[in-house]
Amino acid sequence: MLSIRFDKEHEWWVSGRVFERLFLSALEHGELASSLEDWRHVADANGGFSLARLEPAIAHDLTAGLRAAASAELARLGDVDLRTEDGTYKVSLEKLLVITAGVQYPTDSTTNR
Amino acid sequence: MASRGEPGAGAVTSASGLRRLQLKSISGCVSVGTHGAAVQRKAQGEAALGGVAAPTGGVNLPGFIDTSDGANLRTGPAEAGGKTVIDAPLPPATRVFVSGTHPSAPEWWYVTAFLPDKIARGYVQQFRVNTDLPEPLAKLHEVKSGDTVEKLAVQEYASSVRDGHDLRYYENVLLHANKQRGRVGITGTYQDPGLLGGGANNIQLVAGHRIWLVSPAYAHAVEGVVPDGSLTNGAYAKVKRFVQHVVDIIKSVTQSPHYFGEVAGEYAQAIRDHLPEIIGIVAGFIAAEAASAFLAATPTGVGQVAAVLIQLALSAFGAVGLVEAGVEALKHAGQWLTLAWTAKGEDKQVGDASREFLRMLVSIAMAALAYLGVKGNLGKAVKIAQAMPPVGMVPALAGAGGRAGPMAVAGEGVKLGVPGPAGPLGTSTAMMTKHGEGEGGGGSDKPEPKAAADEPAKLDEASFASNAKPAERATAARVTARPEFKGRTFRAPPPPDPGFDWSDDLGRTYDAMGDGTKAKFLNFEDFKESIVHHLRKGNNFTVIDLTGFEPEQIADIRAYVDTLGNPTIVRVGF
Repeated sequence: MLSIRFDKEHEWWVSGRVFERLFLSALEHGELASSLEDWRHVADANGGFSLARLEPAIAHDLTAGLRAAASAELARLGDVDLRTEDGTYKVSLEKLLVITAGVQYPTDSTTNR
Repeated sequence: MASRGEPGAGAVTSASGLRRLQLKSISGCVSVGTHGAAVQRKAQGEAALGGVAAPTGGVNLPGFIDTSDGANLRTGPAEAGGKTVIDAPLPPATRVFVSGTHPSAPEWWYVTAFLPDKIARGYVQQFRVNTDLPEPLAKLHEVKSGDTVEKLAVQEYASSVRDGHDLRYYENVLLHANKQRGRVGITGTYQDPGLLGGGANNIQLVAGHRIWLVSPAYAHAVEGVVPDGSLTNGAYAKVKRFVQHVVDIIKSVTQSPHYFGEVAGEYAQAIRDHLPEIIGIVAGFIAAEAASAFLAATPTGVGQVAAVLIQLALSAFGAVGLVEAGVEALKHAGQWLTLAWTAKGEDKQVGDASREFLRMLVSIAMAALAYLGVKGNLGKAVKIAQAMPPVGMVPALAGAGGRAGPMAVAGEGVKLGVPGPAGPLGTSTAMMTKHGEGEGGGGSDKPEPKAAADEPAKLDEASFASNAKPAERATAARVTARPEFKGRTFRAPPPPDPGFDWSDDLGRTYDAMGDGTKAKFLNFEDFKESIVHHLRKGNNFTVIDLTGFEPEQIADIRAYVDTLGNPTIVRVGF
């Protein structure tokens, strides 16, 4: 399993197979730029990674790209049996969308109270 | 009266901000918890719940004690001679789950009460329980002298603060949620969320009254509503979607008795004997913790939530000492939660989820019966509680203060006393495999290859081919060479994803990390952090595979792993 940590409170546990499938789909359909491809390998090598450690722009692009790809894949999948590989893929993508719905990466230095 | 129901009492804030229940024991007042109580249970034959009259079902709601003098918890109506189950009344703001009413006095509700150090069951007067929650994960808080809304916002929402959404937003959410419910424990006017570091303190709390603390997820859902106080259609839809998941999970539990006949089989009586407490405990737990773990997307997955719930169900069966319920229980738990989570209110899918919930209970009952050595009595509706091990042998389900991670309960439950290869679970697991059903995903319909006890562990290759990446299979194959896993068979789980990479025939779960074919992408900080997060998940083993990494990389990671001293780490390649 991979631990994709969007920030301190938002973590996506995903199987290696699902992550690879989504990532490749995102690259193929242009939701992720090819310059971001290495992050798939970073995840495999490290059992996941933390986006909070990345430059905000990269973290944003990765998150936005994965979310866009997840939405597109969900639309393509439609109704599937949840006990199949497509089913587990669908559930994982839905979780990703829920998890990342509130994730934002700072673009300035505004300080919270 | 001092409140013991407020956040922080009886719950421990984890490193990630989620609270976790401490379940040091299940109340001995009823069927589980002490040997003596179990004996009492048998002696009062007509009382299905150990001295507490069996309720009439049909309520099934989460709630809180909402009267200033609390509520006595009794074996039955006071006017009919019902005795108090615990010494003191349940304090105001105690979380309860209402399962039904007294058969002859419907104004008395049967509840499972979640106290800081135990779970207790019995009857309370209906008017003392508030089931009209603003949202399923809300909790009631009794305002103490010295409480401020800012303090509560920090306590509940500090980890959710982000740019443009400072604590004042959450203070406004509290005001909004409680105004909507007519609570008088919080007064004032909305604060300006954009005003940083200053401004008037517009919102005040009133000590001695109780107010609702809504969950961070709910607070996010009402974004755009607060502070103007009007629910737009869009915001309403967001709230509804958020609530639906939780409602469906709880419904799948409370409606499970409808499917009893078709699922429970020969274990029906054993489960039926314990179903009221199982439903109360599980539904209450979901309302208190598990759903928020889903919704907040904290370091957990279905597998971890399932692990906690299996431990809770085991405790209801009196088998809290049993730390493994096996692959079958985990599989059904995963399917139950996944089906319920994605049901979107559809009755048919909620029904399917209920069936999976019952199948999970069947697996757990089988494991519990085998563990307690009473399977010979199955035909006579085994009284599991009578065979409970002495109290001293029953490990606390949680009480793991200081352990990091929101699902530490699961971690403790799963990891305590992991059986060795020749442990007592062989029997129960062998029994459980009889209940296996056809599954999607491949590799599971055929009999598993079984390694002999003195042979190296084996892989169920079909399952790995269908359900694992090559690197994961390679890591599992390396683990088969380890002498401590002799005789085991490793199997990669079919969908839905249960939150681990493979399990063995004892039901132990393994989560692997590290892929040396991609060693050039190693980032030491990420790797270290991933180790910590994997350990928090509560799987039995975290396998760290450094095969293929550079010697200096391996040296750094070895030095770090050495500092952890964690016996659940399986080292491969270093």
